[in-house]
Amino acid sequence: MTPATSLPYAYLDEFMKACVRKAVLKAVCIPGYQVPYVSEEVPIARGFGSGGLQITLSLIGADDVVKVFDEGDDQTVNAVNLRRFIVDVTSNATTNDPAEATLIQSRHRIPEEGLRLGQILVLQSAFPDALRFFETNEAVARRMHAEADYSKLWLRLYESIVDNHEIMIGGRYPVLINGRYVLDPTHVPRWDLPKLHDCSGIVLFGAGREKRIYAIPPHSRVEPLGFTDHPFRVERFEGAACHLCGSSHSFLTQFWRDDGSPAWVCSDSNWCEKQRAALVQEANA
Amino acid sequence: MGYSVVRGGERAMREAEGLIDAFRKGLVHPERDDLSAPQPEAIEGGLRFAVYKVMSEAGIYAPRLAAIAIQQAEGDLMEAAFLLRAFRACLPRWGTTLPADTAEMRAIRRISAAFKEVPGGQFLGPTRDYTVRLLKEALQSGSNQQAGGVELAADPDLQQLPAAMPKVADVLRRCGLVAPLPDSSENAPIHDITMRPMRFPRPARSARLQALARGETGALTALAYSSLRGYGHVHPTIAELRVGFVPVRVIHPELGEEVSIGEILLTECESIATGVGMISSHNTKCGPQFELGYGASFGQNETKAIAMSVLDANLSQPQAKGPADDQEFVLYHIDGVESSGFVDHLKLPHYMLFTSILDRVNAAAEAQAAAESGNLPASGADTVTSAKVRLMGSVVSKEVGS
Repeated sequence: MTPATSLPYAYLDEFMKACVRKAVLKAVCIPGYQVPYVSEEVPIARGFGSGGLQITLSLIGADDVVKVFDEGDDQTVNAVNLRRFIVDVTSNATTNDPAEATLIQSRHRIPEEGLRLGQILVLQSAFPDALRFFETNEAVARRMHAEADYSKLWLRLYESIVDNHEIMIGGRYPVLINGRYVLDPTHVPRWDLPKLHDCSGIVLFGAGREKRIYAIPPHSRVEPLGFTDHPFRVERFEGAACHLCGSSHSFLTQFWRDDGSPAWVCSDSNWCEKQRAALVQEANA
Repeated sequence: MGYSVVRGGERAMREAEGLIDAFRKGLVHPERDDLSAPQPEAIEGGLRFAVYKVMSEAGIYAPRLAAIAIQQAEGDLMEAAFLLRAFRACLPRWGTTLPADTAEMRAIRRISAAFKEVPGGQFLGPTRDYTVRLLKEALQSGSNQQAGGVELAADPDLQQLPAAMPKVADVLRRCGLVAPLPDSSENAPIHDITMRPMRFPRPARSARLQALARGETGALTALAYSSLRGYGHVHPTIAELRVGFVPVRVIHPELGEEVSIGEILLTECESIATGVGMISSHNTKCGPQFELGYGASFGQNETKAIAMSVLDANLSQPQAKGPADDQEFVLYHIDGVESSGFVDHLKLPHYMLFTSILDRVNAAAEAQAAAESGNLPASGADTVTSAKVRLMGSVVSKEVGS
């Protein structure tokens, strides 16, 4: 028996696709609400983007151009692996350029250039519930969401300031959507959260292991939590610039050269390439 | 531009896959020509407990496919269960079998730890429970490995187990010590967790049993063990443990009649939740009664079936407060595919997450230093206490424009 030879288009059988699509529709209708759904195994391990992959495979159509990137990079092994699988089971066109893509699957990043109308961004989510670490009991957390009772969350932000003078949340920074649900935007950097506000594209979050789908529909109001005197802050890169394209206005990650000296590089590899191409063009002009 | 950050890519991944193939074929010890990879037949025939474990955790009864998965995973049984699960997820759902009546199990083993004599008798069957665990070098020489080398007892009476044996639990029910089973005609439809998500606080018992039955053996064992040691309210007495072949019946889609489509090897355990320290019985309108925990597993998987029966009893008491009594804690953490996947995902890059964290730690250190040198107007606490809490607009505070 060789399972690989008889795979249907986009791998999932129609029952599963229907389950996922129904959950996506509900999620878009109730922005920020975590819709439970059946999340059966896909050939990608849990924690590596199984939920995002289920959404991508359920939504993909023959005309879709797919971009898969991971931590901003199209060439990291997990992105390559997911893209290769999606192409194997769909033969759809792929791209590294977010401007060309209709369906973008990502882990930990929103394209630096943002989303345009008609695009769907599928974010792989590890923990769908922003309350997970404030209230471990799911049934209780669900009631808190239903009652918009986020006092525990506010209290923790406050305590964090008391202890550290800063809100000590790196990624997974909680955002309030349309004034109603607090949502976990996944480990995208805080840098990316302003891009979610009034965004033209659809942002879908797939948490396969936790069996939840949630969404930010286009042009939603997305507000990272903060206080008047201790506002939400994005990451600071004072004085840093990408060592490849020279950019000082993109999200940078630090690395260490072989000689031990630190350097920075754009986390969005395609954006960085575009910057470099623009520099070359400028030089040639 | 000189230095470029190491990136993965298609070629590296192809090479990695090639390497794992080569290692499977014995590259790990190239100097040893006596090593060889087992074929699925050898796995199915000689590593039956591995096959049982993989089938049970994958939630599909397919010994041959389990053996192939074990071969492909080089004996990594969690990985093999994952391979088989991903395969299972692609299969169409034709329908549901009729409930199996395990009283008509063709048992190869049947014991009770509660009663010395049980109707139908006790049969030790194939078990290692009472063997001395000495590593036998003799097994390594070829002749002993053959099934033909095994001599079953010549006395036919010793080979023949009764075709059907009444359940010990039913005896307890007749005595009123355990609540009667609900009328089978009133059974709620099965909640299949592969068709509908499990919901808390009170998932259907069928969902709970399915989650437990697909759980990773080691995880179930650890959590059940924690209950025995007091981190849960159940320390059971095994009413009955039986292993044997059970017919699988379906309603024929065209004839509308009940037909048998084969049989599966099954381990079943029913435990009386006799309590940890104190005897645990609850008062019902029929007087004090014991809870009964149920465990079942594909293949001969006794530790798992017992652990499952313990945890089933744990989870049937919502007011119990031990970790092993907590539905979410137990049911969300026993799945091997999910737990191993998520633990393994830690190997993925988390560069940006770490950048974000470093930024916060640095910011806190700067704020700390500023506070100590008196540059901060007041401690953060005082400021916030007096501040009117409100949400910030999302864009206003972005310090570095994009």
